[in-house]
Amino acid sequence: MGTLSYIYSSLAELGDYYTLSNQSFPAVTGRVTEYRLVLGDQVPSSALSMGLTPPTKDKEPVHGDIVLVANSGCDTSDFPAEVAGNIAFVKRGSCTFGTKSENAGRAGAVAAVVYNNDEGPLSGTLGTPSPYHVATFGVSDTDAAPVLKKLKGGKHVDAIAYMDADVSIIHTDNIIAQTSAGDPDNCVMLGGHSDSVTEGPGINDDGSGSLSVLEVAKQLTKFDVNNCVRFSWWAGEEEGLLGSDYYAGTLTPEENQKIRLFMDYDMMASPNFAYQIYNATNDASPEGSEELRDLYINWYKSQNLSYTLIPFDGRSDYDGFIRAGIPAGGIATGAEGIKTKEEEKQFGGKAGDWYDPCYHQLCDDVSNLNLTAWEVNTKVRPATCYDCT
Amino acid sequence: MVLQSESSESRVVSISCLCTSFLLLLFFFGIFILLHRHASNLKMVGYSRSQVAAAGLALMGGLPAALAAQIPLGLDNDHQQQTPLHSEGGALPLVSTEALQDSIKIDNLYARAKELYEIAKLGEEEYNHPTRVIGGDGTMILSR
Repeated sequence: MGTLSYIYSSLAELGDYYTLSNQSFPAVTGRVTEYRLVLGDQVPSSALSMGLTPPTKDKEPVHGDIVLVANSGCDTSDFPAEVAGNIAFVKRGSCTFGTKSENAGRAGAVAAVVYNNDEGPLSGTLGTPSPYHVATFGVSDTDAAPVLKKLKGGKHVDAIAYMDADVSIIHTDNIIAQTSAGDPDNCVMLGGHSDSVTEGPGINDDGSGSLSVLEVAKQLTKFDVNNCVRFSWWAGEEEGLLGSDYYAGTLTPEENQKIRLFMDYDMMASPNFAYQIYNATNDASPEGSEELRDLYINWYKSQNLSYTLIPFDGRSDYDGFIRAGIPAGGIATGAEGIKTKEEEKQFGGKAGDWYDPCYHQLCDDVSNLNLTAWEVNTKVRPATCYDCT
Repeated sequence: MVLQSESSESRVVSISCLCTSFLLLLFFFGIFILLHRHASNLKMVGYSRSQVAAAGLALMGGLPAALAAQIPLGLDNDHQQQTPLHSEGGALPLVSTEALQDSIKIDNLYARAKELYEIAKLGEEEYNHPTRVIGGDGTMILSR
């Protein structure tokens, strides 16, 4: 069984305490099996495939001259005629990678390479698929420099590009479980996301949140509730908050009003954790978001636990709810941010390291969980707002 | 969609009512601690548990009958008793913060994590490593 089947069957075991539903929606997904890039006589070590890149023709290597594109390749006029049948070399900046790739495709390029205008390697996504997208790579400024030097000196540089990739539209599902008891016009919502990134099993991100929500759903069946409680498991968060955006964005005005607030649980157990609370304020978010934040703050204080406030900046599933005018908030334990010395004093762990050193990587497995933080954060949930009236 | 301000207000009123109950409780709570410290030599752990329960209950948005039971201070007890809702087959107790918190066991969570990892391994055939990305076997579409 897959993740969704696991969640669904776990809930079904709980009988009619919950009404279950799944909401199917389309999502674009990309998968890169293999790629290679050679520029002149160099294999750029920094080369990365762009997200949602199509393959090279027939998933075979393509050969051609590297043709330097003017400006940042944001206009079709930036692409000289020589691009046709060759490989476009485009500077990062001023427009999306998707636009550059599309323009390259329109100009007849067989592949595109975007080089960084800043230090370091370049990764990104082409975004919404276009029939004009071509296989697109990102390279660092350092790898681009010798190529640029030759091209600007009027010298000829050729390249080989190979991309074995697929872009497809799939259907996936949000799972919703609502208590049969409780005022159905005043639901408290909470959720995590059921999917992981391609790179790994996603046990912390967001297995921890999904499983916390599931475990609370199981334990809640021992109790009665005044307000309905609606649990949710969002699909496609890693592809861009797809499931939660779809759900929140398609609520009818009547359904929207029934949701008192949404609490987001994305990464509850980062190994090098800090107890983080989204710093939602009423001047920037729907009214009630700040009060929810304060409930979280008061809970950690009541447990004599430190906490930090983190930006409420749209990086997780609360975003769709905020956009739909529904108060929201949540807690987290940190991703690729770096623990400060102050936080090391408050929470232990190691300053200077990522909160989750395996964030979005293969090693986000069962060993990538701080069990203390996970247990604390799963307990936070019950303390927050099951009886808002 | 943009909500009417009237609707936004009703949401914040309910949450701020919660806060008011909490603050009120915290105040009495503080008095309770002061009295108790003089009275006994309770160990810190056991001591803090009951305080947490009280604070947590406040966060629940006012369960007056339960509050009266937990805080033995002779509070003005003119709240009406709430009648718990009944589910089929008998009454379940109304959810309480402490009881729900106590039901959360890290062993149960960890066991689920291990199950989830086994599920992630279903993605190996397609992706050459464990994953639960959408569209892969590790996710499994329900409706198609």
